[in-house]
Amino acid sequence: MNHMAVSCVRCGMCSDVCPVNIQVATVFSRVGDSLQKVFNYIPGRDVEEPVPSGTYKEEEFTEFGEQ
Amino acid sequence: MNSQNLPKIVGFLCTWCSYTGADLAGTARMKIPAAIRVIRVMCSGRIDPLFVLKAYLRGADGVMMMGCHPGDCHYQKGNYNTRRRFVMLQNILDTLGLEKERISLWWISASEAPRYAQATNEFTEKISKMGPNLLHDEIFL
Repeated sequence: MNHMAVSCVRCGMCSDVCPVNIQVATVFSRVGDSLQKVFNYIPGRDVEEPVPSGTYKEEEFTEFGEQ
Repeated sequence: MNSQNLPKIVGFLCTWCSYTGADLAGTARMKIPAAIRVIRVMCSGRIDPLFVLKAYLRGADGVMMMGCHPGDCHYQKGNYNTRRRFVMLQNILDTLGLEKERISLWWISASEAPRYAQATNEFTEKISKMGPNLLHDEIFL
């Protein structure tokens, strides 16, 4: 989920192919929603745009780790 | 605090900063809670979110990720990736209704032994207050 959810385009194919009929798409799209908001990323917006988990900015989320 | 309610905390420490810092804290005979189990990794960027999740879902009361301060990474950019992963991880746990407070990220450099002691003590205190992680009994993996 950590590397996939952010790229979820809600096609629902993961639920279709699940051999035991778990509605994984619901979970993925829900997590994807909030993750994509955090990184301001829309999967499929631009092919050149790197996936959030594959890139970083030096000045972001600076509040973490500095308690 | 007796051993009965001593929480189980897994700590992932990067070799170059946090582990050296922890080592220094030990050399300086600082008081470190016995609750923390240290796992040394070569870089905080090595901490796969799965490591954290697995520790958490298998019943660790808390998980700490520690690395060098941003910009000080021995491998230049490992901890920037860690930071993103931590944000993702917190977000995922939050969305799924799990306790995201049980995982924490700290930047601790090799000379910051007091900060390491403070971080571990604070986190242990916090986790003790939260009580044991009940996921171990609830989730079958």
